[in-house]
Amino acid sequence: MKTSMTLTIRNVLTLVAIAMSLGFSACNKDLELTPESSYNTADFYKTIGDFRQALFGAYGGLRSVHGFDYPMMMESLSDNVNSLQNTTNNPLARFGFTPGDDRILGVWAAYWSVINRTNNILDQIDGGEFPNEETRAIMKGETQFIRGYCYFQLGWIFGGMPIIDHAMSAEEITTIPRSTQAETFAFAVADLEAAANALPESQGGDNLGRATRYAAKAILARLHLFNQQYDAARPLLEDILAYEGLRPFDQFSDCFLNTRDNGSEHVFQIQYTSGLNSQGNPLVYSLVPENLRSEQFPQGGRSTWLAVSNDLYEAYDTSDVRRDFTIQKGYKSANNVVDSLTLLFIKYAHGTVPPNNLDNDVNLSIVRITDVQLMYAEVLNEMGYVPDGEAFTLLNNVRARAGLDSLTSAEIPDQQTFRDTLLNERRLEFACEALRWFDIVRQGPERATAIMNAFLAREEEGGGSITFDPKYLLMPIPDSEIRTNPALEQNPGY
Amino acid sequence: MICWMLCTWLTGYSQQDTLKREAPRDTIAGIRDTSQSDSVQKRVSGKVTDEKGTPLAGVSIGIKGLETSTQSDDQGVFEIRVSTDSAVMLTFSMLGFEPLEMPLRVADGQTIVLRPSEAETLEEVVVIGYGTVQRKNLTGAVSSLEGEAFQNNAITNTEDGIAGKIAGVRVSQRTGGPGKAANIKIRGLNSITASSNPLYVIDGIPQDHMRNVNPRDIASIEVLKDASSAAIYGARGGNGVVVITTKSGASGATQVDFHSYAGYQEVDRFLPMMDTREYTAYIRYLRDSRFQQTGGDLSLPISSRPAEYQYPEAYLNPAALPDNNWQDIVYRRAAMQNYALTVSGGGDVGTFLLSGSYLNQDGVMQYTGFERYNLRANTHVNIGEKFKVGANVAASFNRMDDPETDGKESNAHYALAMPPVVGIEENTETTGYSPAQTYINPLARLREMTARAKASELQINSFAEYFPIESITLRTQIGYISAHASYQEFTPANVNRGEQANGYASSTDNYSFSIQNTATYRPNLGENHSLELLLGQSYENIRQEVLAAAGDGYPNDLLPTLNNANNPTLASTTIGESAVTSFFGRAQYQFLDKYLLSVSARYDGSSRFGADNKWGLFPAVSAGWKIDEEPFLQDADWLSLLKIRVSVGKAGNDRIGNYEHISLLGIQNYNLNGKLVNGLVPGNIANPHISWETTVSRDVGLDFWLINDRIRLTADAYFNKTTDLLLNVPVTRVSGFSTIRRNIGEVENKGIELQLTTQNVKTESFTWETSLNFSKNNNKVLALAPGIDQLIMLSTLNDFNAYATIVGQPVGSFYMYKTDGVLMPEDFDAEGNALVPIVNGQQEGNVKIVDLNNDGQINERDHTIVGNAQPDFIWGLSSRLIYKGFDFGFDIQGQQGGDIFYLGRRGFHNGLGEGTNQYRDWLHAYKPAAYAGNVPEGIDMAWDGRTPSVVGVNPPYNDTWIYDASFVRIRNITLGYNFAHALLKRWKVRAIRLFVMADNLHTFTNYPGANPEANNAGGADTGENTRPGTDYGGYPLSKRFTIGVNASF
Repeated sequence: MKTSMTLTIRNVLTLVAIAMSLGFSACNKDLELTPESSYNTADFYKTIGDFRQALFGAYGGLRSVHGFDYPMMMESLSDNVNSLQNTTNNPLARFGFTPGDDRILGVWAAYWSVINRTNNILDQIDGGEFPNEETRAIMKGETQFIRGYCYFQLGWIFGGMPIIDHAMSAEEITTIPRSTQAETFAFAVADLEAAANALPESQGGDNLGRATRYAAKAILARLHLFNQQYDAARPLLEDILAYEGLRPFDQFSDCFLNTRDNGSEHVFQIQYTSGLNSQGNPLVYSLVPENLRSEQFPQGGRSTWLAVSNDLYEAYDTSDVRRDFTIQKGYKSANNVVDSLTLLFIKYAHGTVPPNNLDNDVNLSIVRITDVQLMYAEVLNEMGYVPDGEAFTLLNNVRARAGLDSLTSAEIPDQQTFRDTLLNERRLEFACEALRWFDIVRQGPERATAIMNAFLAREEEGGGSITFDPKYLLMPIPDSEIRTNPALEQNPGY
Repeated sequence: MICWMLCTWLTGYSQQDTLKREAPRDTIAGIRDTSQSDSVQKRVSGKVTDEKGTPLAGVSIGIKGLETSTQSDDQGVFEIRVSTDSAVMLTFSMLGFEPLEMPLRVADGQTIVLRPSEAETLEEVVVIGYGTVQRKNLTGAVSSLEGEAFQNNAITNTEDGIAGKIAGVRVSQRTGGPGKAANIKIRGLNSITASSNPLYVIDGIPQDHMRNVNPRDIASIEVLKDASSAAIYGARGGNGVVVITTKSGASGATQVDFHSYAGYQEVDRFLPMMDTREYTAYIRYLRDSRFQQTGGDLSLPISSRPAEYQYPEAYLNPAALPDNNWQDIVYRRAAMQNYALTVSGGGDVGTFLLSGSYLNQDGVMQYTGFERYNLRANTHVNIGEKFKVGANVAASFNRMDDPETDGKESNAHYALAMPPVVGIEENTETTGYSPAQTYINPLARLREMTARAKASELQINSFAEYFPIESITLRTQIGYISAHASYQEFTPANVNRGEQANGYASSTDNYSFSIQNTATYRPNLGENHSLELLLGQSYENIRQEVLAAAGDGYPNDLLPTLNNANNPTLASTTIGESAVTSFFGRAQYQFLDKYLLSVSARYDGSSRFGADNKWGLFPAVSAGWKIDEEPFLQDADWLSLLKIRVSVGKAGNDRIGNYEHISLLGIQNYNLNGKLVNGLVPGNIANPHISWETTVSRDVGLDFWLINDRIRLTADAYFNKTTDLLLNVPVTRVSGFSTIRRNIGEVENKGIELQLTTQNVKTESFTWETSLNFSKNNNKVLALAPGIDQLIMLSTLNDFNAYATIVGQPVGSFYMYKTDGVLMPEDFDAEGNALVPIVNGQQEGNVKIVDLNNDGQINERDHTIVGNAQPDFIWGLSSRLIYKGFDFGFDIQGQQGGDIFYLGRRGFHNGLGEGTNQYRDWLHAYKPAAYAGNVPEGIDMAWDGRTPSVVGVNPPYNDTWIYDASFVRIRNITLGYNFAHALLKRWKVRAIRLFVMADNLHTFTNYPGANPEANNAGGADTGENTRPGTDYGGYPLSKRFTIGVNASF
């Protein structure tokens, strides 16, 4: 019995060994599978081509956020958008938002992800293979332009930001506290100045649309203006205005036609092209109601559209060509309901009608040359009111294109009046270009609160049921960030 | 625990030893008792055998009415002393045999033959991984369901057949769409952001689903619930394993079985939406009031108002308008039919089973439906005595028409939201839109849209077995599955709400190859020991290739195929692959058929994990003690099994993406000068150390069977702890990303399960069986990541926070504002300023949000847990009565507790009435005094005391969107008749049964939506745990009435 059992066990072991060896060919190497349809980061960032793709990826991030979350948020907050309509969908317009607001998070997350992309490039670009140092320098400057722009945007929207100047792990990031707003801007200034030195005057051919030296200078000037550093802004604006490649279009309407994309009016634009895979502009239809039907909008708009305020509409002179180009009063819906009162932004809808409503072809301007002109006028006025001086000329040039009479020192007798007139002109010129909220915020808490409270007190705008608090001048740090990053302190009041 | 088992095992051993040696003394002791009353004694002896004459050892022989008893020895011989009263009756009993009583004088000196008992449960074997075990000797927590159990339902999917029938298994019917699979979770949620779905093993081949199995082909389903059972599947067993064994032929005459049923289905219930009279009155009140709020003048013509405050003049005279209940229009009475033919048989050479079936189920929603063909050939051939080869080949083909049926903007949504004033022919691009609403006519959309999914699958599972000697089985099994799924979608311009026609098509191929080699050794160690050793090795590779394309620019609405799309908008192919290599072994040992021990281990390597962490070891041990076999219970004839089981084991979960340990680049393109330029950006934060999620489960079980197995109670208590979760840990967006996958966090599931099966009546003409099960699971998150004690999730519409997974709480709670009624006039001062914290824009009558942190403002800090989708307990009750030729059965299923998030309240149950129909409740919304004059005459719109005013703001999301999801559902009632044998003999038919069935007859619930188990707006795939139980207007469940026939030849 005992012998036979031993034998049996030996037999078993032999047989098991044979059986298992059949399948032993399958071992560790079969577990080393690499993705067949995705690129692997490990061998990326080598050649100029790799860096170009990485850079375009950063631009791509700006295209996404500027096509919806950013402009929708900025216009909603400002006095350009009615606070009562569409109440469920737009807590930003009625100041009923909280730090958990998804659009605020969308803007925040987008800029940081672009910053991460630029950091990855800047960390490795010095070791990359470039045909010559000049190309490397230009690409480096372009990357710094994007990073500097993002820091400026984050800085004025949210306040002081942590300075993340190279790619870091999430753990490392959570050890870096918020710096002050001034420090944040200083970091942005360094990037933008480096860009202004490195970038070419213009980009042409298949590079059309990439950042130029003047784009960097214009953003830099805007930053200085926010800080009321008129001395610093002045030479930058003068440089831009001196460049012959940038001149206003003759017609205001031409500024928003896809056929005039990247023309001399535009200092820097985010690029949108219809008919390519997801490269179209989705903002245009997002501004009008879902059930609207018109020649410009054969497929209607979006459920989260923006109702324009009467306050903005009434701010235009009836002879101002910009009013009816920017705003449509009343509309007809798909079910033939006729509305003669509702105000809609149609500023970007005058060009080629796209086959698909979220695939509009028109670019969105970050800086137009009239913005540079009006910034320069502002700088001149702040440095000293000169009756009917150069500032007046600049202002009147913009007004003239809008079909308005020139203003003289008779109508604008002092510096404060000029300041107010200029800000009003900016509101009308740049309505729906995400600049109004910027212009309100930079006037300081007192004036900004006064503007917003006066607006919200209007029965049809806020009905008196909405009160403005100066804390809203800085957006809250998104709730999820406070939870995941102990180094981030919430802005006061939230 | 192991120590305890070991002790029990050892002491049990010694007791048994003692018993054997001292048996005569026991007998004498027995006699002593009786001798006190009667001193005249007689010695009686005899022999007990089975029907074949084999001596039976261990038969219990007693004297009726007395305590005295003895046992037969190894030769079947017994001897007992009794008093000389000749009327004494001897009783013979042994497990597995019919008890026998015999007068002493007849029995004396004779050979007594015991017949096997009829209770088949004795032979009942349970399929466990890579083997079987007798149910009575099972040591793990395994529930089984024989295929018979759901042959009496009109079901499309196996999942539906399991629902409510197995303790510890929660089957949720998330949608009523024909052919849609239900969701199965075993013993709660082990995982947070990885999948919690079980592993399916079909005829030995591990798979992700069982949707292509024909329920009628199933011989049995076993659910391996504890990790000790599931550990043999190692890294993939952590969520439990569903083992499916398909039918095979049996030796004997060839048998032909035909089965068919046919009938119709109806929507369970319609929801209480407004009719035209109510709708027009409501809209008039609402729009007048909101216009008034913005300072509008109600005396001016309605057409001079902004569009959102206008309504057609015709609303002033609703009697002249259409009054359509769109639920009536979208839903229908629908047909369902099923046919199955099986031929099976076998002999010395082997066995075969061939089956074919066809199912056709129209959906209760118009133009939806499901159709499936199944073919199967299960065969094996004996080659001499030492070889056996076989193959199970299964082919299936199915087709599903499912045009936007479930969830937001679906036809189910529009069936509720479409105002009654819209005409049946209105609201397409060609017919124009009703002034009431621009939603696309759901009937037209169902009719004109194409959304067809087709799937075909071929499973080839071949095996060879070699028996070099009697005690050894060597087995090699090779499985190959080729599954192809295609989907074609086309939305014509006519029903695309202003957008041009567009089309989409995809084609998915899954190839799965697996090889398993096992060796099983069952040495003969004498009658006291039984041992089975298993050693095995396997390799699997799964590859998926997806091709997708889309386009628009169709010249017209006539042809849906993409070749007619002049403007391609998508062309993509993607490939994914994963592989698992494993080594495993198991030893099952039984001593004296009452001490049971099983030890197993699996060593798994997976391609999904980082280089240093590809391999993991998953051991398990379980033990059982059949107490009824102990001498002190030998006399307890009423007891047929009393077994205690304990087990502990470790299993894993690898359900994440294929390449998460590798840092990949994502595409983020840009355009310059009107041309596309390629952009590549970092796509994820790779975690090169990523590895298994590990579940350690402990289980204590009791099997308590009485009266010849007529009462069977199985009770289990378990404690599962999952550690090193594959958690998507939120990271600061400053990093450029939102999450990183890490092995971190802990979840526990604790619960109890009861399964009670009773044969209440058993006579020749009448049997009545009942089965009851109950499961309670407590799920709790023990830890997340360092510094993170909650994961907060946006609603699936990505608008506001709605869910949270918080340490100390169950996974996936609803996390929102808490309300306390509505804002009353006394909550405002004379100037209209709120005296309580409100959200900007709120007015009298709006929901009153509780300022939980008392900081004077309403924001995320005031969010709290307002519910959870996991139930308190679930239960099921099935019963079957057979009287002569008639049989009657019913299944009831219930859930107590658990909540559901009715996201439909965003559209057709929010009172806003932006042209959408509303629940009737909103007629009775709060009316601030200022707007009371806007209520049209002749309609009751008095406040019901709870519904808030919709003028102003009711901030989403709050607890008024959360409902109790408790329900009781009558799943099935069946009445059948079997023709008498005499009659059948004349017809040369083996059996004929006619039956009528009612399925999903009714669901009792307080939930106002269509289905308390609906989940059509929750997170997909891995989001389903953190964003559970969310309904935005789902495809309702249907009740089914069918008649059918079974015939065997």
